[in-house]
Amino acid sequence: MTKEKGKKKSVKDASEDSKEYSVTDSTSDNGLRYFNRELSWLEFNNRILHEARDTKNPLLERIKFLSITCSNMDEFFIVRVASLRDMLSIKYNERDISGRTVKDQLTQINAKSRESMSLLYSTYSRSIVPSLRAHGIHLMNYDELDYRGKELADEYFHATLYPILTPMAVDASRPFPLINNRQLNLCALIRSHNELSKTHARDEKDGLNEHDRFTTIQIPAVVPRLFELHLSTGISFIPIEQIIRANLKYLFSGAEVIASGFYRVMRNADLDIDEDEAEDLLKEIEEQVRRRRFGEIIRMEINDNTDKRLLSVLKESLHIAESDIFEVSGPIDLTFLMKVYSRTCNEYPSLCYPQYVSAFPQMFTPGENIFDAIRQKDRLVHHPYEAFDPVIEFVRQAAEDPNVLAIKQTLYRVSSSSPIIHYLAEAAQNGKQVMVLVELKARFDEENNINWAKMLEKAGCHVIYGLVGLKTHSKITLVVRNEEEGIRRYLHLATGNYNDITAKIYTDIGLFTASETFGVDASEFFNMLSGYSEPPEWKRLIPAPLWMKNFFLKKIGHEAQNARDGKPAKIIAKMNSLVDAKIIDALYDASCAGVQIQLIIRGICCLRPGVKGLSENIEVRSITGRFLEHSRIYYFFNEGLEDIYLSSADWMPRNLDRRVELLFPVEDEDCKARCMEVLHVELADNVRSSFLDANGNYHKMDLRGKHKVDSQEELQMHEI
Amino acid sequence: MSKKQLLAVIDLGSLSLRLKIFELSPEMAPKEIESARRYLSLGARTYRHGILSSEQVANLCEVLSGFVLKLKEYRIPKSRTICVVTSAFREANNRAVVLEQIRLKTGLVVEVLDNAKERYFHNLAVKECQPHFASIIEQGTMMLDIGAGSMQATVYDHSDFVFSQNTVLGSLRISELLSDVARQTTHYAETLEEYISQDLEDYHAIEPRNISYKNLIAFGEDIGFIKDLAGMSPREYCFLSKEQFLSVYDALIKISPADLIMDKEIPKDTAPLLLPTAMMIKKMLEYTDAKGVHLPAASLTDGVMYDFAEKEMHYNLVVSPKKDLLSGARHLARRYHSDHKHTEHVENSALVIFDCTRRIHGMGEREKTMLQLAAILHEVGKYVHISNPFESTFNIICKTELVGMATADREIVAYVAFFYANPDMIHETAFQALDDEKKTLVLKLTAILRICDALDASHKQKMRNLSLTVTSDSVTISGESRLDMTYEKWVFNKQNELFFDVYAIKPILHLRRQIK
Repeated sequence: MTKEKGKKKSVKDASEDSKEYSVTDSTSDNGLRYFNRELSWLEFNNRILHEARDTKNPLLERIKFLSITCSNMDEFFIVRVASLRDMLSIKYNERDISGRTVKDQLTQINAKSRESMSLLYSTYSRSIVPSLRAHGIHLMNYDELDYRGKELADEYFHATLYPILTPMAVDASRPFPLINNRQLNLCALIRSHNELSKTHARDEKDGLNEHDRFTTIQIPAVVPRLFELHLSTGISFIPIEQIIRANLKYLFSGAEVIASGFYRVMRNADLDIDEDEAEDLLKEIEEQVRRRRFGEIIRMEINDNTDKRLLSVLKESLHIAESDIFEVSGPIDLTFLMKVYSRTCNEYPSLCYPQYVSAFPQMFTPGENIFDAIRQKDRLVHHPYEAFDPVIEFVRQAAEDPNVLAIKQTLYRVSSSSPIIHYLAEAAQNGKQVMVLVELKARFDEENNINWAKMLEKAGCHVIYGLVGLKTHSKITLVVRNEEEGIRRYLHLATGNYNDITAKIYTDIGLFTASETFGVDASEFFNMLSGYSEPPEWKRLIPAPLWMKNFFLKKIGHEAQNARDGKPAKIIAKMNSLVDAKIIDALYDASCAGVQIQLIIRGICCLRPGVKGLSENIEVRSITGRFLEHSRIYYFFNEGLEDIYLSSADWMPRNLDRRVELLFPVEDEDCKARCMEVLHVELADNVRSSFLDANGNYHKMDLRGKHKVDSQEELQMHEI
Repeated sequence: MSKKQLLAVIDLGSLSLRLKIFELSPEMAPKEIESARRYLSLGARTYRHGILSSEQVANLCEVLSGFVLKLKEYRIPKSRTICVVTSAFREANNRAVVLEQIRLKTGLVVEVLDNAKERYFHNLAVKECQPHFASIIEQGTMMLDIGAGSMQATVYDHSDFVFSQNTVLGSLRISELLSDVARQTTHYAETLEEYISQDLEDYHAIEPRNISYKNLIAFGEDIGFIKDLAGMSPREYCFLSKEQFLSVYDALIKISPADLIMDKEIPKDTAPLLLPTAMMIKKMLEYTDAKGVHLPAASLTDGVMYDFAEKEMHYNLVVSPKKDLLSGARHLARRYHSDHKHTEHVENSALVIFDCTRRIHGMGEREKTMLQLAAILHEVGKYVHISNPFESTFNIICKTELVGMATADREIVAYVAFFYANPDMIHETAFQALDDEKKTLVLKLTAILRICDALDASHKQKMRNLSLTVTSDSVTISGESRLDMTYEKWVFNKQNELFFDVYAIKPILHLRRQIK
């Protein structure tokens, strides 16, 4: 009895503490040590939303941020929330590091995401739409069109939309059709003219009439979401679903549409492949992509004014709980804003960021032989401030150079017309041994990756799909060259993908080196991936999953020991997310030992900074802006040696324990200096940075009277 | 493009398959540019059942296909690819079929190394990779080559190779043999120690006496994991003091193979082998006065490469393998109480005659070494049987490993040492079963040895300053002597017929009497 009382008391204590730490609301002590990763992610998405709300950003860039916020939220639900739902369905009772049960997390995610959605739509309707209109860009409903506008829209309906629409009725003989994931749909209640007069009174009284037919129509994805009209006042965009709704009568002749609305469902899209059992990984992924349509519905979006009768049919037929229905006050799925951006940015350059052309990398000279340059000394490139060209040039020259024997590369996400893929195929055709590890499981890129894999195989490349059960996330290219002095290996190692398109938006760092020790490790790394060899002993590269985490723990521990010995100790780490509890604990320990720790974490951060006796020496900032902060840089003071490492990995269990990643040291003094410069500029940033407090909230710095430093702008200036 | 040449060596070991690619040039030391290793236990089944299973062969071919891709990557031709197998194949009854399957599926032609050649390559690798090897062997040094199927102990003293002996104490073999015991007893370590001690006693019974061992060098496939457990780099040379080694040994006694796999990430096929390996080292540490154990980073593939580099690229090795081979033969001759002065005289005469008659016999260095060995060992059988020593000589040579010499070559040496005194016995069935090339070689070498033996028939080394004059129909062997040479002349004229029969050239002995 006493014990029971004690337990209750501790729960109460925790809830009292949670008033102090608003994000936690946890039922265990862990809640005081760690933030929940999902809620932290929602905080991150709110920071992107903040960019959309920030009127200091150019207007069209704001709509881009709004679109990103929306697509992020979609992905979050179909991956993370779906995963939690899976856990709930198997009655997984473990608490997360913040002490929450799965149910707690889902409840809090639901509440927090509703707040975000509400803010997102109010930003759209109260700020974005009026502001765009003021500049002659009209996001309109069909009803808002004038007579001529409606005439043109109707013409578009008859000529283009009507032939591709398939209304699907639902009744006793026709079950509810399969509703595709993330696909926008129109639903309607139809009543034949014969029944109209008879049932009117009863209809009013009982709601849904037995003669009313529920019909659903998939809004076609094969035509653009927006119908464009050029008016004297500017350009108008009308969502096609509005045009379809206005012309529903043509789809149901002899019947009347008594109610209509739009809805979209999200399904569990988490690819949970049992790779040990998959005989052919490629086929399994293809199968999974097909199967994705059949996932459980975890969220449905409807308009806030949807007819109750329609809602009732949807709820019942799709087995959706009330809590999974999200009412929105605007067009469903605002990702179309990205299309508005791309359609208008050329005509309205003043509403966009000033055009930025990446500088030619300062450590390279145009027209030089890239191998001569790398042999001379290590070279570092910082994208997007510096162009991606050397990376493409590296593969191009390798493909054409008669002295090159082999090219090996890991590919995670590549652009749709990647020059790298082209040159790899060319290299194979030129008789080089080309080995490409294509990671098929790069989420949402699976189909694209399968296509590349097949194409490369056809060209004669040796395509492999990595280690069973581990996603290969490392970014490495190895070129083996037969030179006068013998075999020499050239390497490109990077924090970001081999994607020339995202390299214009993502901040990433790449290192070119011809160091022999790096080269030997790289060969061994590929041998390990291709299954030729067991994991060896590494000289320079530190791969995950087997080695990297321990290495980080040792480095952090070493700094802590130095601090305890009275020596100066410091850690600076820049990454996308910090989730791993062991790393966080090591950082807490280092903080308590007196190590000064500065963390630049764009996304999720489960570490609670600034708590006395726990993390008072830890500062966490998140930088968001025009460019997506994507590079991972890890700095350890190490008694003045100032070790710098770059990596493809974040401090997350998935990176450290379940993926093949690479961490590599930057040894060349000039390259090190450039990495340090990046860290210093970002740590000086007070415009783009949001600072995490002990309650889990992010704050912008009060800049009154302070010199403003925008790190992304500063770095643009540095690289010119 | 590059003046350097690439060499690929593939070793299909009992526990793992290893590929190494080396860059060789006449001017510089060989350089390893790539290595790949896959654990695949081939030996376990062979040692127990005598065959390689079809599943093992399929796995083997799959890994080898990957290795072949690496060879293509570096454009290494077949002529520069050496693929060797050792005891796992030697002891497999279906060896021939498996080798053919490998050839068909991967295109690799595999050479089965006999134990002597395998140990030769191991020793060669250690001699090249062990830092300060030349100075270490100035003192009594024992080299333990702990293989999966057997252990080879090699002894050096005063910079000379002394002795090498193989025992069946292989880590995998012991582990397989005692696997039933391991399941039945809680005193596995004690049983293991008793088993190893008993076999080592047999070894100590035949090893050379009067050597004060100051150094112990151990190497083998699993040694890297022992280094790892000692906190050292598995791929680098290290020296473990007796205390350091014993602490690893104590840890191995306490930890089960299952825990080694789980906690230390040791491959599952290797984990049970570490204790037998460590125990063999520990026993030898106790036996010698060594203060610790040198653990060089050397593998069979390195040895194969150094052998190739020496032969094809004229690379200078730290210790000449031929020197070791001859030194080992001399120690063997001494062990069997051969007349040292006589064998030396015969050896020297044989070398002079061989060199001066190269145009006639057309043989090379390999054959010269065989002749030299036959000369050194031609009387070892006398220790066993005084009236008919030749059969014993033949048996001793055949059964004693001469590290660095393949079994087939050793057999030729044995026949030469047998027939030099009994040329009439060439009709013996076993000899006739040899192929014609070997038979001819034996007769060519025997003909030379036979006349060299005649030149010191009295064992008094009367003849000095040997020289030769070669014409189209005769070989005149000239020499000087202060003593009467009638006996030698008589024996020479009796024993020179074989030379005439083989070379169709008449050997003539021309002696000048020296005045005292």
